[in-house]
Amino acid sequence: MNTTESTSSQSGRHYRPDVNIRETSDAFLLHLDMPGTKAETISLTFDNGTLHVQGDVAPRQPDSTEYLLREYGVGNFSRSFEINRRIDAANISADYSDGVLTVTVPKAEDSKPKKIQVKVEPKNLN
Amino acid sequence: MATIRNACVRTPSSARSLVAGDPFAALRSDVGWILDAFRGADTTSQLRRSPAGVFAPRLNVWEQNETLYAEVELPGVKQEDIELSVQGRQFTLKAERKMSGAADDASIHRREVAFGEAQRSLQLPYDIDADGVRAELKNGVLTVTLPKAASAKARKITVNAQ
Repeated sequence: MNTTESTSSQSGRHYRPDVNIRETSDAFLLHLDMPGTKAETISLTFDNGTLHVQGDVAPRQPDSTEYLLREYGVGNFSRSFEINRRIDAANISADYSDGVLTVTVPKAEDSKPKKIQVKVEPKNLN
Repeated sequence: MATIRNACVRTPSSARSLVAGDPFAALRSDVGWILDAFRGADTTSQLRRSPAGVFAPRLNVWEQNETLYAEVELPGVKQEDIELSVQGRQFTLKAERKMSGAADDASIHRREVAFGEAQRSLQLPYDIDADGVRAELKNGVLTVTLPKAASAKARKITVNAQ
């Protein structure tokens, strides 16, 4: 799974959420840090092998606020992931809690690991 | 306007990752899996981590009506794992981000998010009314309200005419 950088923060309007990506036997799990957004403003699209995640963040202070310390900016989150694996796109699901978006991308049934039974030939007792 | 003595690096969160302007983007599409492993390590080191493994979360601080407000993004941190202390003008925040949903069968493809302890101390411009401090955690954003102590407020002094 790669990430595309077409929606990087270079535009100055979007922030790229940090991500941890894990793989289990059934799915890929993406954990994205998206503090300050709301579940209803998060959109997920999967198109042509690319998963796009977008989360809108409303300003928390008025523009006129004079900061004594301003170490981070606040704005919408956006990031795309190129998924070069066989997945079950119809069943992608997401959950938002504590500022973290967890996206579950199930693997396609035929790409899940399968246990292959090794047949043991009965011993030829002579 | 009051100033804060503790000078900190003002880095927008957009600069958190190494990936923007990555010159290897094209190459990576061919050897993505291998590079991902290294890139994961690189981005983790971007966090401001002390040798003890404690990282310092970034803060936004502003003032309104003789009250200071400190805001910090703490995604994935539970309310019970946050500890705040205020003494005079010293403000300390401690938080621990615990690993969530670690499945035994999971393999990690990318790791930009760090777990563990975070700590930050700040010298505020004036004494705080410790009893009036409030904190709210919502969607991974902690906002702390720090009212100015009565002793630090400007008082109008009436000149008595004899």
